[in-house]
Amino acid sequence: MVLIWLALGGVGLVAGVLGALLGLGGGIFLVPALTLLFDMPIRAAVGTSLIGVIATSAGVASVSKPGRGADVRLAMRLELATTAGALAGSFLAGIIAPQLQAFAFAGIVLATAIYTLAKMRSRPRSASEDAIGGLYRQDYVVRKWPAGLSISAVAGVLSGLTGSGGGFIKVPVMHSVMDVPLGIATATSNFMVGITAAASVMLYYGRGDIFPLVAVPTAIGVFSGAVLGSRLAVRVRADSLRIALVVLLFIIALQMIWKGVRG
Amino acid sequence: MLDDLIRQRTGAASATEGQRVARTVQRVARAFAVPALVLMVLGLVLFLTVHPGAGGLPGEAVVNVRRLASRTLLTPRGVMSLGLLLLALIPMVTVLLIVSDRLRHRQWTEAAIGLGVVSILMIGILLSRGE
Repeated sequence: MVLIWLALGGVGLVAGVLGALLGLGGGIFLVPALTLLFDMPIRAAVGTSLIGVIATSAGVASVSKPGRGADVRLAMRLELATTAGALAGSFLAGIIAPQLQAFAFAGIVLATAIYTLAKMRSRPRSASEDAIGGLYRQDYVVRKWPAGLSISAVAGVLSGLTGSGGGFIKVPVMHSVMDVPLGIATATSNFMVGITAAASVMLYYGRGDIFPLVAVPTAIGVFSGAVLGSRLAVRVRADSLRIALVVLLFIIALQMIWKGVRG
Repeated sequence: MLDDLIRQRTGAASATEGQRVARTVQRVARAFAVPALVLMVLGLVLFLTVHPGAGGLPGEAVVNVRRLASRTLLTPRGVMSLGLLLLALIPMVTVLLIVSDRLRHRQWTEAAIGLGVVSILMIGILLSRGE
């Protein structure tokens, strides 16, 4: 038992470090690790992952310096749609076949890999003050609210269904659709992920899809990893990790598709 | 009126407001995460002591812990669940504090929106009890 807990804690630690370093949230690593390495049913893995997302969010928040903040007004408005979507997604997870959930997760992982690749290619070449300042400029007007709210609701459904934080949808929606500067969109998304996960986690717990003996060591590992990852973030070049991450994500997507096919 | 509620200009999000909220988030995370982690670790230790097959403290300590657990109904699963619950409450408490901040600054629309988010989170809790 202790060995299993240590293994779960280790998996959580890695997920927390990667989540904090790469801004992806631990869920994208936790669900495949729990299903592929520990052969957990996917609903239980998603439930544990939601706890992991909240732990990542709490871990990063507890050590980060309050710097360039999120647009909280925007976040609260979008959360009306996202949390409603998350409730719907969690409810749906209780009635659809586990294979469909595995396929949905594989789709999320693929989308995250493509989004990470696109982000690497569109990064500004020079880290000049103008470039960085542009990421956090304050003179923006948020547009296309109906589209933003609709897509946020979809992000919430996917979060409830797959245990991810949904950042790979929220950031592009805020930046490309709603005209929010990228730095602010990212900070806002990071602020939102924990709230979105909290909307789903109670339903999973009530359904018995969260096993404390699994979720607790994982959460301890994730929280510790998130704290460690936040401290490493200033020293580690995330770009070199992102290339390895993209490859890993493609492998994970294929494994999850195979798991869904096998049943 | 709904249009006005949703379309209110948010582009002028002040850096000061963002930093104030970030400090609130940090305080809540620290205040809840530490007891949550303590309870979780305590739950794991309790589990090991009341289930001798899983390994744990030897001899008399096991007997004493079992006696304590049976008297106080603090089962290992219960303690762990309490820790998980504290962790899961961090986002809701954060939103409640933001609502309180909005009310203090007489930003009624923002407070109403925050309360809307809290309501949806509460619906999740109520639905979980029905499962």
